[in-house]
Amino acid sequence: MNESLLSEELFRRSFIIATVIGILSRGLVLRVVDKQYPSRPEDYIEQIIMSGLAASLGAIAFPALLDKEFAALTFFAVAIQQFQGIANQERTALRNIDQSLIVPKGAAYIEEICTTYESRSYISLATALAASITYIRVYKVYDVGYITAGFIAVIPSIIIGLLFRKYLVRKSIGDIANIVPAQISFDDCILRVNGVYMQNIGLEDTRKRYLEDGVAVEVKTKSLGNFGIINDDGQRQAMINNIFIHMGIDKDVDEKDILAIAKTDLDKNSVVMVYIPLIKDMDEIIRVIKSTPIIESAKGKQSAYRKQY
Amino acid sequence: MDKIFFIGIITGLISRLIMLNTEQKQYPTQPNVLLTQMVLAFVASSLGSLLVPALIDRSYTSITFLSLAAEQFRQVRSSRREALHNLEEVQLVKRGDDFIEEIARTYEVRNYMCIMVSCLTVGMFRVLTSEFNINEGVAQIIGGASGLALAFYMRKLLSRKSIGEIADVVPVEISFVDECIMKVGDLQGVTNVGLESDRKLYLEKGLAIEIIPKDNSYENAGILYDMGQRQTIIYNIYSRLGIYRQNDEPAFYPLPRRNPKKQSIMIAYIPIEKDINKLIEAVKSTPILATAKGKNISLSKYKINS
Repeated sequence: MNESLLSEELFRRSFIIATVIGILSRGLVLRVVDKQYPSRPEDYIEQIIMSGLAASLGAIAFPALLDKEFAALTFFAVAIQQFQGIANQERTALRNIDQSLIVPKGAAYIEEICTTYESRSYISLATALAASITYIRVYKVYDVGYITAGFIAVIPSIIIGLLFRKYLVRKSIGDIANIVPAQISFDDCILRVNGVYMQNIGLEDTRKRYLEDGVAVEVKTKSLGNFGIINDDGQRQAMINNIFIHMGIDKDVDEKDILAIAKTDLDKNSVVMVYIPLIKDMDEIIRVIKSTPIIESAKGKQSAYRKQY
Repeated sequence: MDKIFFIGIITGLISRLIMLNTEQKQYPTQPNVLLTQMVLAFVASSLGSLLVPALIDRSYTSITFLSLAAEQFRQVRSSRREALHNLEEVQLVKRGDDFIEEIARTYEVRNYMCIMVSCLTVGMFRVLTSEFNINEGVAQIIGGASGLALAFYMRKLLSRKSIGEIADVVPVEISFVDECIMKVGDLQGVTNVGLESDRKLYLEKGLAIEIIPKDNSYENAGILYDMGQRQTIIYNIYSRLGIYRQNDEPAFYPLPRRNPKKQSIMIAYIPIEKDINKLIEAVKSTPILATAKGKNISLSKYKINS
């Protein structure tokens, strides 16, 4: 294409630089994902491929626009459909796996993971777009060398990447709540934690196990405005699943009387949980609960109390 | 067309072929599936090789076919999932959802791998010739070599470990206490077998094993504990050794149960032929599911006390 406004070299270099930057910026947030729920090599490859796709779309958009190839811009629509496709696929997979988990993730947590998959692809797209625009503009307007222009192109991408990251990093339960050990007691056969009714435990043996190996905690928000978050059922299930992932549970499939449940202490506005981990390590359990991400669907519940307190 | 285009397709196909070996070992491949996989691999590799020349010609719309390809491969995953789900109804021992997800995901990822390998091959060639002015012959060789290097690296990255690497498998005894309660090794109360004749069959023909996590590590125990992984183990035993069971005899359905004392898994099983070595081999060769990993991650400082 000789009538193009961009020389072949400029196009090639801007494309390569922008794509690489786009993929690297996905790497920036991948680490956060890893901390919060374990990823695997297959996932990494899929994510890298997807970020490569997103980044190349971002990198090609500006040159296409300069060449007045407007039809090519429809690929943005295709891309968005792609990213939604990923979220969908992930949702199906996670739901299927959730059925055989002893302590399931729950629908809310799964939705959270899926939306994250989707939104993180946009980071690559945005940073690659920023890099390619900067590169081409800087090169054309200021007439600097290729390498200098490459370095300058990195700057806006880093800014955008960091903005996304700051905006998307989830807060965790530790930011809004204190976790204190609670008291397990039996009222004949009624299991209570801090006096809150949990469940009826019939077997004498199981009651003994609860008293000996069980742990109970109370999650208290720092303000009433945040109580809605931990009062959300999906959020509670996410906390329990997080304990399970980190600490295991001393239970097999057919032991129905070993529970991993959370109930609300409606008088004190807190959430109490009872759990039998493989190893009774209170400090670790408190740390694990604190590290649970706050899921988006739990936010904004009971928001009327937020201003008063 | 350039020679490099064909080199790209070939490296892409090779990357798929070298993965096929492991696959055949771990679950039997059927000729029809094999054929469709090779065709898909060919499509994926040619897309990967086409990408770079298309971009150089500034055919901007051509990047959409990458998206189309990704869509395709996700479709492959869905259709594998559906096919295996439908088969579940007619299996004497089920694969389980986790194993199905694992297989379906593998199909998808391996196609991506072809794209990456062939795209790298051609891309490397282009970069070398245009940016560094290296002559074509040398660039073709370097491009092909880098594609193959990536293929082998991916193979190493993606190859699944098997149960044998994280656990020891030892034979144990089946016995019955209180007349009808099955005891496997030192784990009492696996299940309740009511009929005298069924109990006799278990004692005569049954085999039992204990899968003990290596290094007394809770992380290894977490993998074995996962329900999907346990189902995969019994499915693998079933696919190798068969099961001495009619489709309406629930008493002989294998139940892998956890032994809380050692965090090990106990399985009582009646194969067609009583051969403990074959059974141990089948358990050891079971692939570890990606979804089973990453449990008990806070317990790495503790050891299972025996």
